[in-house]
Amino acid sequence: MKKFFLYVGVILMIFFCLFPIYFLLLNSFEPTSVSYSSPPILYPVAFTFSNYIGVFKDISLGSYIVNSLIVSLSATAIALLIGSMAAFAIAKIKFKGSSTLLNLLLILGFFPAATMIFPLYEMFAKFHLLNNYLSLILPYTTMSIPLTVWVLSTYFGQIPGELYEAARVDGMSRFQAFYKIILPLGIPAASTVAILDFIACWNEFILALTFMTKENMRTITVGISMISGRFSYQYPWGEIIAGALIVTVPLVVIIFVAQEKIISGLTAGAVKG
Amino acid sequence: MAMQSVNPKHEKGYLLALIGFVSPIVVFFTIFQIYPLIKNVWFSFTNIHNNFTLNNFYAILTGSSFWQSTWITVKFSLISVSFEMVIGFIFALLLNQEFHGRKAVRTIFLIPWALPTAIMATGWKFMLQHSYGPIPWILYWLHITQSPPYFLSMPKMAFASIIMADIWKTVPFCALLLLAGLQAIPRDLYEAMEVDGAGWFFKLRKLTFPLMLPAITVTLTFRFLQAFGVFDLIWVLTNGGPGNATMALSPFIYQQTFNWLDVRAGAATAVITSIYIIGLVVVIWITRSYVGRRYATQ
Repeated sequence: MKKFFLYVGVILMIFFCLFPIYFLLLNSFEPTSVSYSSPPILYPVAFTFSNYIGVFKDISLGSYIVNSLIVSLSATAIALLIGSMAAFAIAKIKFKGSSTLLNLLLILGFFPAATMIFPLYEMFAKFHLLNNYLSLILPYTTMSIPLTVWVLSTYFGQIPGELYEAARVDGMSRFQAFYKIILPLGIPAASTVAILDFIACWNEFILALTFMTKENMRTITVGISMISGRFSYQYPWGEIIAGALIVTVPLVVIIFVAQEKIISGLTAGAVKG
Repeated sequence: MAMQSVNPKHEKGYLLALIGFVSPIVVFFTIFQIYPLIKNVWFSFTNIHNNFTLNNFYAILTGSSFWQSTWITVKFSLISVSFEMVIGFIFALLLNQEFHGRKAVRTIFLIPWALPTAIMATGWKFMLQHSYGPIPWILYWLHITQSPPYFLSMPKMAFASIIMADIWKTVPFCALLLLAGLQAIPRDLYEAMEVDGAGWFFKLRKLTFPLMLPAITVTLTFRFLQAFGVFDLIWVLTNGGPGNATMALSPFIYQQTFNWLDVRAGAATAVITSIYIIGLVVVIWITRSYVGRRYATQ
């Protein structure tokens, strides 16, 4: 009996997570005329790939994906590079005020992007960086730093200090000890952070909406959510939904490949408190 | 000789190395986070001729839009986070049981979390359309409503829509965080209580809940502060409307700055929003150290 209720609960949970995905998948394969039928049809009646083709032809999804990849990968790489250096300093060189720095990073990360968006806009406009990848790469890097430094400094802290000290006694400089000894050992944590940073950048919306005003410079989140129909009275829902599903695929692949890493990265804070 | 290196501060080049390692993140933060916050303070206290003025604050604090936005933000955060914590806790308890395919369910839980908010909001916008969206019609077919409800064009229903979409997106995330807290509780504590004949509810109240407090506070903190800055979801799903029914603070700042081109009003709203955030952080900080002390002494 207890088992029965457990499985009912589990099925409800799965239903909760997946029912929107079902409606989206369904409508992405239906011609627009079916998507617009009222009342809606909740089961497959026709099958077409036209939405998936149309989203690349009518809506430049391809360039949105390329833009998103460029800014997300660059920001993740820079955040990992400079974040791991700072994390190393916090964990191994040790200095006064390192915990203040960590807390400051955490708190600054809580400020909504809207509270700082205009000064950034003004700054990028002044340096002619609007519609330039840098206008997203630089703030995305900044946005990724708190998580990167937090997770990596904890991880580096667990690496025995003797390893670092032995390297120093052997005559390595601090920087050599960092990239030859500590960094290689930190790869598992670094890959976790890289995944979380990448997803956060891939999903960012408000800065991309503001700094990329040209249609061909849009990222996927803005590109897909800001599509208006070629005819103002009719949204091309089928194509929008197909686009939404296409850009979700890489995320689902990442989830399947790295679910353990993602969960451990997400929950690191919850266990320690 | 070797032992000297244990205290790194006595090594030569300590300060230089420190600056080399830490300055890149400090530079990024100063330019792209601290400078914009300070610049907004400057904007909010000046007029177009760069003279000091309190008019920007006076205008927004005496108008009704700002207070309405504050109220919408508080209401949205409180309602959505409460639902998310309760449902998330129930899901976490279920996920903590042994059943076939548990790992697969955990993977499925990551899907709503990983989906970009702007894109899932687009999907919800389709599903909530009155004439052809599935959700209004399912509610009607199940006789929950008299007719397919208008979600996005009625103020109260639009507010319910953003809460619903937010719950869908973040319940799985809350559940996974809380599950991590649950799994950190040693099994033998439960066994010890069962030997003493403790019931299901007694265990939940006296063991699970107190030991889960750190995980609960972390989840609450992150979720509440995140919900307080909500932008993507509202901008895509309702655009703050109908009227201003879902215009939370972040979209309000955006509207003032980029739609009305009233940069200084936007800056003043942004500054007050920042003060709200600082206030929330302080309250959470004090609560956490209080809770921490209380449970440390028990």
